[in-house]
Parts: sequence; structure tokens; C-alpha cells
Amino acid sequence: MQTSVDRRGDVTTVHIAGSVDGVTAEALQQVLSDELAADHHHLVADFGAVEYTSSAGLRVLLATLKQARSRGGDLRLAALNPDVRKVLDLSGFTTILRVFDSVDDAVQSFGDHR
Amino acid sequence: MTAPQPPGGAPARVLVVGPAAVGDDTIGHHLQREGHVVDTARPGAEALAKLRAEPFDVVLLDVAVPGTDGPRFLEALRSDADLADVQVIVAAPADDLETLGQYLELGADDYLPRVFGPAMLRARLGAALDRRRLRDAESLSREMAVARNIQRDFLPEALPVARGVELAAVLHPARQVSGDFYDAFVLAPSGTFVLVVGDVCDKGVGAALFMALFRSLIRASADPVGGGAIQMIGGRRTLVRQALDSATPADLLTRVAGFTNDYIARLHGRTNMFATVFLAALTPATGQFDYVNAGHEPALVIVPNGAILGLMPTGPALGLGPDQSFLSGEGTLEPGHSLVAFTDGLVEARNQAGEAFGDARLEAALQAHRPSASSLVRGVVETLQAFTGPAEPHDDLTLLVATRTG
Repeated sequence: MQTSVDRRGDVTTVHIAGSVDGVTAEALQQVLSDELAADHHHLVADFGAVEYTSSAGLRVLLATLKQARSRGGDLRLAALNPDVRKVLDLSGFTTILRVFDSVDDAVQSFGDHR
Repeated sequence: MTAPQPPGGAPARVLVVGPAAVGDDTIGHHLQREGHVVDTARPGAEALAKLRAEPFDVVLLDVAVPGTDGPRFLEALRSDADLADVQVIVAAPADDLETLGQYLELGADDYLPRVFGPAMLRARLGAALDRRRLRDAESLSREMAVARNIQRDFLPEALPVARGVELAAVLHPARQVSGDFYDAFVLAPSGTFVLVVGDVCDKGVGAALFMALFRSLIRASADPVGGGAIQMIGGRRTLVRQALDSATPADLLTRVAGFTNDYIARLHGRTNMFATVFLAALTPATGQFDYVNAGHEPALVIVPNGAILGLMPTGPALGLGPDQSFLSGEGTLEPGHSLVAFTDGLVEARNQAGEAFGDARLEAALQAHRPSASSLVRGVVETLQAFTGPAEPHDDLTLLVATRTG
């Protein structure tokens, strides 16, 4: 798994590539925690290049979502592939997280209403 | 300043115990040059206090100056159970066999001639660290074996038996302990079977601890009388009992899911742990069942030579956040039909080429076996094992089957 980060306005996008599993979830948690620690609370996770996520990856999303919201921000997901979308739908994550078709849509959604 | 990386791996924490100060102490000096973390102490109370305060790997006991402090210190060290894993190397003049013998008898692990070359010091220290790691690994493995045995106690010792329904189940942990669980118990007086299959997020010890919690919350809230939760409800036992007796199985399941969810989300929210759980309440005599699927893999209803029906989620995984609502679904097992609940470790199991077992292979295996719970479980496990071959399992695997016998 690889990650890269970019910022547009006060929205931070973390681009994730590869598989988020029990081994790589910790690295993803670190990247997201670093952003939160730097007061970047408006987060988009770009899942466009994520092939698979295990429940360890979902746990990272849950932790980040709660922290971002407790600081007045949010974590939003973008560009899920159908397999990953299915995992998030079944487990109910799509009922607690906002999901967008593209990174642009997700970034812009923060401008709509804060 | 970056410390040099010692040859052969991570730096060791070494306490040099002896009369010399670190500045003119050749042993300590050599060790620091090799990149190890070195502290010094005089034999006796000072050295013992340091050992108890910080985790040292090795004690290098310098007995160049003979005295009574050294043996007494070693005796005290060896009689402290908390320090049993600390390796002790005695540095003594090479010809002083009497002193060396005395210290080895008192429990020193190895010795080093007082006049030594760097290669010898490295070799002795390396061997001490290897012994230390082996002891650590052994003690961890003993602890994990204990945990595994205790965890087995959180699974039902035997599956309930009733005319009309046959149950069978299997759970294969990927590691010593598992985040998967299943449960099956009978509600009195109705005789309803409650069936549970759950998968706590992530793997390993953390998931195993929460497996025990989820399983117990579900069992105790579904069956407060049989489940041992009488203390929780105290004097209102009768009241609760009446309320439960009048609840329909569907009400009971949605209440169990809501209670367990809120308990985890409110009391353990900081850990961000959650579990996907399939719960069913099955009446053996009629085959009628209600279910709540909390974010779990769809359980399957198998009709021999017929369609396979997936029981989709009726609510989110338990623990995502407080105040989630859970709906219930219902169905009927006709004679010969089976209800199959499992965890994703089954469909996501991979062979050596990295290919997943998948829904299609699971469904084919279920259709291929005689409609009996035990033959379905056996058949699926054998098919899976033939598929994965010797590949290491990457996730826990659980399968619970209820077959209506007539």
C-alpha cells in the first residue's frame, strides 16, 4: 500500500493505492493521524486505487471519522471500486460515512455546507 | 548523533555491574562502540534497583576485583522471579577457574575472559541475546496457549439438540487466538434456538478480547436467566423475565443487537472495535426463524437442488456508533433446507496462486453435499482445504449450519 497527500483549500485528500489489510492498516492510520494532528480535519480518502480493504482498514476509517467529526471536520470517501463498495455497504459503513463518485465531488462537498 | 547499528541486529540494553566507572571501563566502552545501550552500577542494591526499574537484556558482571559483593548480588538477582530472563555474563580473569565456577553455580549464564578481543565480546553477547529472545518467545507462546484454551471456553461446549433441527459448526483460528465466534443456545421455555456467528474487526489478541465481550453481551442479553446476567438486573429479575417471555423472537433479536451495539459504542468507543454479527432465532418444530444481520456476510438458505437465498444485512455492524436501529427478517426452513452462516474468512480464503475461494465455490460445495448439517460443514471444509492446499490461512474461519430434519 502507498499513500500520498494533497491539499485544496482546507480540504486534505489522502490518495491510497494497493490493499489495506491487517499489515498496512497501521501505516494508513499513521498518515491520517498525522493529518488530524496537523489540524487538517476536512479529509477525503481517495480509494480509486484500492483493490481490497480488510476489517482492519475499516477500523482505521471508523477511528479517523470519529476524530475528524469531534473536531468539527469529517472524513469522506471517494472513488470506491465495486468490491470495496460492497464491503462498506454490507458492514453498514456507507450509512455512517459519506461516499462520492469522484475525489472532486468529495472535495467540493466540503464547500457546500460546513 | 545516530548510534552505530550493532552487527547482528537491534542494540542490546546492557548493565555493566562492577567496581569500574564507565569512563575507564573497557567492557562498557567496547559495548557502546558497538552501538549497545550501556549503563553501569555497583553490585548490590544499586544494580538491583536499576534492573527492576528498566528492562535490561544482559548483565555483564565484572569480577576483576574479587570481593563478596559479586556472589551476593548474583544470588539476589537469581532469586527475583521478575528478573529471571536477564542474561548474566561474568567477566573474570581467564585463569581464575575457581571464581568462574562459583559464579556459574550461582546462576551465571556465560563467562568472558577479562582480557578479550572485540570478536569474543560480540560472540558472547550475541549468544546471550539469542537465549534471551528464545526465552521471550517461549514465554509468549505459553501465554498464547493459555489464552487459546480460555477462549475455547467462550464457544459452546456442545450444540443444542432438538427434534426437527440438526446443528453443526466449525471454527478455525488463523492464529493462536481468534476474533471469530459462534454460539448456539436454547431459550426456555419456548425451546427456541438462538444461533450466532460473529467476526470482530482486525485479528489477533485485540480481536480475541473483544470476541469474548461481544459473545458474552449477546448471550447475556438474549438469555438473562440462563446466561448468568441475573446480577445485572438484580431485584427486577421477575419483571425482566416477564417482559422477555412476552417478546417475540424478532423483538428479542433486535433488542440484543441494539443493546450490544450501544454497550460497545458507548463504553468502548475509544478502541474503535466493531463486529459483524448474524443472529437467528429458530423454532425447531416448525423451521420458522427470525434473524438480524448486523453488517455481516449474508447467511444462506440452501434448498437442495434449488435456489440459494442470501439473508442480507438488516442493520450496521455492532459498535460503529450508538443508537443504530436494527430491523429483523424472517424465513422458514422446510425439511431438508439448511441455514448456513459463516465469516468472510471462508469466502476470502486464498490458494497459493492468491485466488479467493469465493461465493461460487462455496455455493457449489453446499449444493454438492447431502442435506445434513454435519455433512455440509465437513463437505465445505474439505472442499476449502482442497482449494487452499498448504497456503497459510490469513483469517479466522467460522461456519455454522442448521438443517431442518423434518
